[in-house]
Amino acid sequence: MAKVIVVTSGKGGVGKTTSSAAIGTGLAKTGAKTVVIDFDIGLRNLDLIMGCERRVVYDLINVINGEANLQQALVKDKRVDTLFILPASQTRNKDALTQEGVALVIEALKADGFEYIICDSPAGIEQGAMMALYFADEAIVTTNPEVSSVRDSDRITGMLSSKSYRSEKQMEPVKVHLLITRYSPERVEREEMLSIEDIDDILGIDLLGVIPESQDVLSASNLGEPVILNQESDAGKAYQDAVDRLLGTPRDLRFVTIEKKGFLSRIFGG
Amino acid sequence: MTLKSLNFTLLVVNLDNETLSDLAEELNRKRLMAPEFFALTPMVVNIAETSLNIDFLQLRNIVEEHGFILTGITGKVSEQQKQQASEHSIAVLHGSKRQVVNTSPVPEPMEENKEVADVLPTEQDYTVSEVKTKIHTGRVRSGQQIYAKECDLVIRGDVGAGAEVIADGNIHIYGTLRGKALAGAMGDTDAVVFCTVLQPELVSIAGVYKLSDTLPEDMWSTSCSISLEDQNMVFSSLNKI
Ligand SMILES: Nc1ncnc2c1ncn2[C@@H]1O[C@H](COP(=O)(O)OP(=O)(O)O)[C@@H](O)[C@H]1O
Ligand SMILES: [Mg+2]
Repeated sequence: MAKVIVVTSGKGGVGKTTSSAAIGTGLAKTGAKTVVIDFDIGLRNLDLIMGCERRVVYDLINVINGEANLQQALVKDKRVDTLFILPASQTRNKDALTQEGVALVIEALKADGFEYIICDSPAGIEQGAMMALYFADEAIVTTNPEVSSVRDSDRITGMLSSKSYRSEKQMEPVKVHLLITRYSPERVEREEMLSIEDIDDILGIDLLGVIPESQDVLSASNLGEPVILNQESDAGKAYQDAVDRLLGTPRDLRFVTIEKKGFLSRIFGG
Repeated sequence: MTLKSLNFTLLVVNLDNETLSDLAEELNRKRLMAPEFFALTPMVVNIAETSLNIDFLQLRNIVEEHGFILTGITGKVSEQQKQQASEHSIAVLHGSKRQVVNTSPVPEPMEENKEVADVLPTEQDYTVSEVKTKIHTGRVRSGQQIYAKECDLVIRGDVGAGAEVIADGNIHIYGTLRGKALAGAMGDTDAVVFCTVLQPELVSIAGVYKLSDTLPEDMWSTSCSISLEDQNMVFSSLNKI
């Protein structure tokens, strides 16, 4: 059974696109045919983070408008065989994103044998974000450890339970996961950031993973290579743990406490 | 076509000795408390205790400017006022207070030492109310609103910041109140809010309200009830009873 998973947050710049690329890549690496759809019309950057911007010819809106078929618009990833991206349009106006149009695209992807359909949502609670979450079976609510981001995540989680296809058809509710990104244990200790416990208290959503704040994320996106492919990096490892949990394998949380390096290990680099 | 008679509960705003500009201010406050809830709410203005010479056109304008709908006026309306109101198509309504129906026409005054059993109602004295308590299970999240019309509201879960729970009766929250709770939304001053952990953005009873920064500090994060006494909010701990 194909699964539609939306990566959403309400707030912008929290790491939705970074997470969509990493988790999409992680799922595809298991051999499951996976597509990541960029719903951020006018601001496309999924293709940049995935390093395929030069190969974009058609986009989601072209497919919805019947100007291109799905096969023409899907961009195949160069590194992982089973990974595809469906880019967003940079120019067209957002009203082109209709519910009927999105329904047709998702149906076509399912018919084409895709197992995971990842929807990278734009920020906000406007049309684009609503369309990205509407058909979701599961949601990855992405949050930074700060009050405004958590508040927006609460809001979008409410929308998932009232404005989605599953809620309108009174089916089993959308399964919601929480992904905390840009977590810095040092800043939590200095009380500059909310802790995992604080966030859980406010949101009460099952935790899928905690991605540490890491320089590697920026380097990865400059290279156009999803950070999960860098298994030397803490952020890459944390994304891999999140993918494993999503697939049902329990993993302990890592990178959530301050590493207090002793004097010797500091000297010997242990 | 059939004509039926139905009962409605309407929001009543008293125009005591206030001027129309006081009314404007009051409506503004009400609206800011719960903007979505009060949008296009039908409203009745009670002119009982006002000796003002009311400009009905201005009254209607003020009410509508604040996003409410003026359904009519009530109170001690003089013949002249009735005439003026009708010129502006404003109805004159005669309200009845919501109360338990007692079938004996003149209730006997209660004696001090009367036996308790005598005072207890016999079954036929009261009509059974159809009003149920509304029970919501689960978190109420930012942007969500739960309204219990003409009844009490029970929330089993937290009420998030940016969420609103509203009832015409009492509100019971088995969880943390971080958002807004408005009890007695249609003016019942006997309404009470109960909650397990009090950290609200706003609590209101019958339009009297407090924001988080005007709350008694020692009540923050406690289990408590909030009620009204002479238009003042009274907070009392649930643990000290
Ligand atoms: N774990 C992280 N550590 C450091 N920077 C991050 C991390 N996750 C995301 N970023 C940075 O945050 C910015 C916004 O990320 P992006 O994925 O585009 O967010 P969104 O899609 O939610 O707008 C980017 O510059 C990205 O490199
Ligand atoms: Mg993005």
